[in-house]
Amino acid sequence: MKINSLVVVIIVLVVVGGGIIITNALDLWSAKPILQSPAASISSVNTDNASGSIESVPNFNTPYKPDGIRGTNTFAEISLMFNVPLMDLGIGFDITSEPDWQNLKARELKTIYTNLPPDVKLETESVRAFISLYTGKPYKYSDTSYLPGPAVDILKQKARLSAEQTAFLDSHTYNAGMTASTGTSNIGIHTVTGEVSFQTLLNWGISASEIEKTIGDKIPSGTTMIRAYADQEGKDFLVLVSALQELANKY
Amino acid sequence: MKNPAPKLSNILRLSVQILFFLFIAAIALNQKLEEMRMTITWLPTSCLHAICPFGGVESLYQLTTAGVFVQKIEQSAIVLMIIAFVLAIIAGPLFCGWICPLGSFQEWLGKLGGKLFKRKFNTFIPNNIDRYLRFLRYGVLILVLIATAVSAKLVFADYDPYHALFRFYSGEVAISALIVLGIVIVASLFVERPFCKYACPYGALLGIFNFFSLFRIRRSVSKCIDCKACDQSCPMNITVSSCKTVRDHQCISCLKCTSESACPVADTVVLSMTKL
Repeated sequence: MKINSLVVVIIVLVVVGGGIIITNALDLWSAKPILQSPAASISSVNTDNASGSIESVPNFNTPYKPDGIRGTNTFAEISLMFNVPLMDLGIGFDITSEPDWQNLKARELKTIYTNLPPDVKLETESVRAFISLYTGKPYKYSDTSYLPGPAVDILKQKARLSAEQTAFLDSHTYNAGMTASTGTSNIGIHTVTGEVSFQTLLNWGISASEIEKTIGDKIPSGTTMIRAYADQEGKDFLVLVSALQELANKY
Repeated sequence: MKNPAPKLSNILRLSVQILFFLFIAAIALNQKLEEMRMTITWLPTSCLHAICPFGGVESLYQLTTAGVFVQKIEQSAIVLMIIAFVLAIIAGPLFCGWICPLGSFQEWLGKLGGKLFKRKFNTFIPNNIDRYLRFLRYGVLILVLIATAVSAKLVFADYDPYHALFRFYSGEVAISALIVLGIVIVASLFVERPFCKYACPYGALLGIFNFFSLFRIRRSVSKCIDCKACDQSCPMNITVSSCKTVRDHQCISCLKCTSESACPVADTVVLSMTKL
């Protein structure tokens, strides 16, 4: 039994086209990542902390490496790959809209952070550096890679950083308004994140009455973090952070 | 003397090659447009790695051991890998000869090389060296698979000329991949399908199917007039004229040697399931 070119064409088109259509109908065709961390079912592990008690920490033991992060990876994918909370990525890179956290691609940071000083880069490389520092996975970050202030705050609060890494972060923090000539922010150096407590706001020199005026309520206890406060009181977290940041920028 | 009209088989194959080439190019462009928030809505915006069947092969180890895909490889790559295997079981590496846009690109550059160098084209590498170089792609295959399994990263992406060809303007392509693409482009002017012959890891894998595919290139010894037209037409330099059945690992099932195309005698070199 022999076949000619026309039959070959039909075979090719039917097998390729039919294969895609059938797998799509069976929900087996996905050209978007469906990455799954093998540690997803074990999202945290128990470990002894400095005081000897057991604490639960995220399990970063996934097979992915920070240098494998591509510009086309979305924050959702990166969160899944490395078991890093999506919120920390979103807030860390100062993405104001929560739905954007899911779909934002690492390379799009370049279009968000524009007009940077010449030796400051805030793009895919910054995401790799953030993930590396967050998870403790090795990565060689370049000297031109910067991280936004909120990302640095999150890392300092949540990651186990060495003195060297902390020094790197301190010298590679980007704050909005950073100018080419001074390399320092001319708006303010305090960054409000969900992990910032009300005591921290007071320590920055903001008066209790100003805080109360901004949040429209009596100031809670100093140890209360802004995220926890927003959740407890049912307030819009992003609106709250934005308002407090505007206040903090004056100091 | 007027060139003979192109044969139907050649037109059909060229049409299929152009179709897939343009489709991949359009998807790659749409990815770029997505960055500028101007996508063509009826076209997919998949990453090119998602629609490369070799990504499925690279991901198999990670998928079977760790239950995860290699970074940037999606389920679609596994589906396409299976589709290409199905085609290969039917009639050998049809993916190579009819679909692969990089293969098609090299072939079209080869036509330019044929015009420049005429009979010398595709003969620059001596047979005694060429014979051993043809196994280099198996080394590439093994190396890539091991490196990918160990790192869980798409290692080949940094050297992949297919990705470089369609995304060279994106700023995301590694310099090493651009260099490989440059070498492939230049080499295609001297040798037909150089990447396919010497370096393609996926071609190496699909080539194995030539040993047990259902339909194979077969030659009727009784009808053959030994004109060697089949040998001259073969882009992979296979001596079809010395085979009753082509079981060469380099055959790409392009059918250029068959009686529909180069062979001047009807039903002499055909794609058949049974012996002639």
